[in-house]
Amino acid sequence: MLELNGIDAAYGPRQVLHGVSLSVAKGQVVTLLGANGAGKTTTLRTISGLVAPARGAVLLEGRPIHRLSAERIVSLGIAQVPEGRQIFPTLTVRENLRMGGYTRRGGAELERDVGRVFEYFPILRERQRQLGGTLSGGEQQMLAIARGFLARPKVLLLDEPSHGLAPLIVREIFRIIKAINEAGMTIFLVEQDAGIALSVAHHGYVMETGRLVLEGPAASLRANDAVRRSYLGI
Amino acid sequence: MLLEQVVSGLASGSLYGLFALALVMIYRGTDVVNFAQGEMAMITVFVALTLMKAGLSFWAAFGCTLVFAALLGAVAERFIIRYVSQGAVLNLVIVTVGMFTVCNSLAGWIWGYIPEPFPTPLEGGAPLRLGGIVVTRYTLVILAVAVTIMVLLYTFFTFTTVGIAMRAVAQNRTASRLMGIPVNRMLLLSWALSSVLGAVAGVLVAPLTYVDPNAMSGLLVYAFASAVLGGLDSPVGAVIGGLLVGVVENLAGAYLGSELKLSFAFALIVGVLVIRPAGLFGHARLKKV
Amino acid sequence: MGIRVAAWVAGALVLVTAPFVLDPYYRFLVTMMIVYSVVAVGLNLLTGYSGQISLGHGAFLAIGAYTTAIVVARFDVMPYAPAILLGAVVTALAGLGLGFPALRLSGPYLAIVTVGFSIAVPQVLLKFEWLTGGVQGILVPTPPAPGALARWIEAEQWVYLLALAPAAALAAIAANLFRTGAGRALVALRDSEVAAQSVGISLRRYKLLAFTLSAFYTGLAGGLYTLAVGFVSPDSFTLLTSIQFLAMIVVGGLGSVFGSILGAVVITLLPNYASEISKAAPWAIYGAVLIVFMIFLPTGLAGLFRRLIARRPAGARQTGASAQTSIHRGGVRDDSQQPHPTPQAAPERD
Repeated sequence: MLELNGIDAAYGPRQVLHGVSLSVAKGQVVTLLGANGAGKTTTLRTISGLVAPARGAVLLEGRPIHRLSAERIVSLGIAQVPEGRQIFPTLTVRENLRMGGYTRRGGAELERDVGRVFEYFPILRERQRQLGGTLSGGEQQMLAIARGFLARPKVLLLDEPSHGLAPLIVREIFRIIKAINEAGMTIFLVEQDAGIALSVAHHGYVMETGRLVLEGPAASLRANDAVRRSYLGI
Repeated sequence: MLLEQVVSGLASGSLYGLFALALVMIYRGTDVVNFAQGEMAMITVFVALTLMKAGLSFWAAFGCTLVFAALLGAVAERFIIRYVSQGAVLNLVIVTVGMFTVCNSLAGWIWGYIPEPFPTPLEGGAPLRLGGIVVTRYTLVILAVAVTIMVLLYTFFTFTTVGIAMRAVAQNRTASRLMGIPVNRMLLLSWALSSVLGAVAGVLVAPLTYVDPNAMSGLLVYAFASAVLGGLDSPVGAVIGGLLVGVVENLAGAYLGSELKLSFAFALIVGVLVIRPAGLFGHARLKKV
Repeated sequence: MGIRVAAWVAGALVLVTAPFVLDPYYRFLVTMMIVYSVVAVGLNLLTGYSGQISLGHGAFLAIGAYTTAIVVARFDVMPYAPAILLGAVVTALAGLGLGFPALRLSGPYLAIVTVGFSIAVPQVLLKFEWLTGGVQGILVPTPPAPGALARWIEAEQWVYLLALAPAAALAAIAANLFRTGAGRALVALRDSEVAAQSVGISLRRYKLLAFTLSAFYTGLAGGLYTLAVGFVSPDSFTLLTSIQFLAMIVVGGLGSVFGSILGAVVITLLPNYASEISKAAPWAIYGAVLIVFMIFLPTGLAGLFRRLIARRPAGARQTGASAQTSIHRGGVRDDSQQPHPTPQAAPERD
C-alpha cells in the first residue's frame, strides 16, 4: 500500500534520513520505533509532503507521490495525526472534525463517519461544542485521531500518540487504534513507546539516527535482545 | 445636546466599524494584524474616483474597484507578507507599518494632496427626524451596511467550510496542510477578501471625508483603534468598538475641546486593553508554550 | 586587533575634527546624525533587544526637547546641561508610565498604543500654550562656547561637540550593557518570554526597565535636539518622526548599537535627496525600507557588515541561517550576534 524507497531527507545542510526503505502492507499496523531525534517525525513529514526528499521515492499503491503538494497527498488518501496533537485551539471539537473531512464532499457520508467517530470516542460527542484548546491531553489526542480518520484515508499516519499522556489513557487510545485497524484501516505508527506499539502492530522497523537498523514481524521484534534492552528496558 | 453628540458619535463610529470589519477579516483568516488595511482601502478609493472621472458610472467604477482591491490584497500577501508571516511577529508588524507609509505616500504621489469630493448616488434625500434628532439618510445607509457585513462575516466564519478553514489556517498552518487545506490559497483569499471589504468601507466613507490621503489617515487610525478595542477576532466587536470609539471621541471633543479628542480616545483604548488585552469581545490567544 | 583600535581612533579623530572642517550645512547634518543616533540606540534597546515595538519615540523626543526648551528658554530657569538631563529624566518617567500598559500588550497591540502616544503628545503640547508656546513653539538660543574657548570655537561647532560627548558615552554604555546580566535578561525576553520567565527573569521588571532606559536615551537626545536646532514646535514631532526612527534601526540592524548609528546616518541623509523627488518621497522611502529590509536583510546593514568581515569557519553555530526562517516570538534573531554566554569562535564586538 505504502512504500518508501531509499529516502534521503535533509533540513538545509543537515541530512536527517539516510536511505530509508520500508513498506506498509494493506490492512496492517506497521510501526516505526526509535528514540528522540532518530528521524521518525521527518519520515512522516516526508510521506505527507511537508518535506521533499533529496533522493528516493514515496509510493502510494505503486504511484509516486513524493513530488506532490501536501494538500494533494491528503486527497489521495494519506492522513497524518501529527506529533503533539496540533488541534486547532479556538475551533470547537465539531469544527476540528469538520476540518478533518475537508477533502471530502461532505454530506451524508461524512455525517455517518462523524457518527462512527463518536462511537469510537464518546467523550468527543459530549464535548462537541467545546473549544479544542480546552480539552485535556488525552481528549485532544482522540480528537486528532478522529480528525485523521474523517479524511477517510487509505493510510493513517500516527506520530507518537502516546506522547505526554498518562499510561491509562495511552492504553485506551491504543485499544481504539487497534479497533480502527480491525475495521480495515491501514496504519503506520511512529512511536517511542515500543512496548505499546508492538502490542498492536503486525510489523515493525527500528530507526537510529536516520537509518533503519532492524525490521521484522512484531513478535520477533518483541523477542529481539537489542530491542528489549534499548527500547523495552528489559 | 448630549443625545445629539451621542448620535453623531454613532454616525462616525459606524464608519470606524466598517473599516474595523476588514481588519477582523484579515486577522481571523491569517493571524496577521494589517496596519496598512486602511491605507490600502484608501488607494482603492482613489482608483474608484479616477474611474468615475474617466466616465464610468458609480456602480461600474465600484465593481471595478472591488476587483482591483482583491488583486491588491492578493499581491500584498503573495509578494510581501508571505515572506515574513512565518517568522517573528515583530518583523511582520514592521512590514505592515512599512506598507502603511508606502501606501500613504503612493496615494499622495499619484493623486496629490488636494482634497476632492467623491460623488455617490447613495447620498441625498431628506434627513429624517428620529425623536427630535436629525439623522441623515446616509448615516443610516452606513450603519445598515456595517451591520450587514458584520452578520455576513460572522456567518462566514462560523458556518461555512471555507470560513472555518481560514480560521484553522490562521491558527496552525502545518496541521491545516495535513488536513488537505490549501494554505497558500486560503491566505491569498483572506487578503483579497479583506481588501475588498476595505474598499467597500472606503467608498462609503469617502463622500464624507473627501478624498485626500491625510484626511483619511486620521480616520483610519481611529478605525484601527476601534478594531483593537472590540477584539480583533470578533465582527461584532469591530462594530461595537467602532461605535464606542465614535461616541467617546465625540463626547470628548465636545467637553474637552477638539485638540484632545484623540488623546482621550486612546486613553480609553489603552485602559481597555490593559484590563482585557484581547479586546472587549475577542478571544484570548491560547498561547502554545 | 591592531586594525580595530586604529579604526576606532581614526573614527574618533574624524568625528572630533569634523565640525571645524565641514561647511555649516553638512556640519548641521552631522550634528543631527549624532542626535538621532542616540534616539536610534535608545529605540533599539527597546525594540531590537527586548523585542517591544515602539512607534512612539517621536513623542519621547518631543518630551525631552520640550522640557529642555521650556526650562532654558521659556522660563529661563536653568542652563543647558542640567536642563538636558532634566529632559532625559522626565522622558524616562514618561517611558516608565507607558511601560505599564505595555506590560500586557505586544506586537500590533503595542504598536497601536504607541501610535496613539505619538499622536497624542503633540496634541497635548499644542493645547497647553502657556507652557509650550502652542503652535508657535519655543525658540531657543544657541549657547556660545564658554569663556576663552569662544575665540576659537564657533557656537555651532561647540554645539556639535556638546552633542558628541554624551552621545558617544551613551553608545558605549549601551554596547556594554549586553555583557551584563541585565542586558542578557532583556535579550532573553525577546527570544522567548516564557523561557525567560521560567528561569526566573522577572518579565515585569525588565520590560519596564527597557521602556525607561529607552525613553531616557531618547529624552536626552531631545535635549540635544533643542540645543542643535534651536527651535521646537509640535509639528516637528509627528508619527512620521517615529516611523523614521524605526526605519533607522531596521536599516542599521535590530539589536546592534553599531547598527543604530549606521541607520541614523543613512536615514538622516535620505530626506535630503528624497524630498527633491516629491513631498511624499520620505514617507515612501521609509516604508519601502522597512519592507525590503525585513524581507531581505532582517539583520540590517550591521548584520551584513558583520557577515562580510566574519569570514571564519562556522564553529559551533550555523552561520548564514536566515533569520526569517526561525519561528520565534519577539524580534529578529540576530544570528551573527548572540550575547549569550555560549562558547564562541571569536568575540563579537559591538
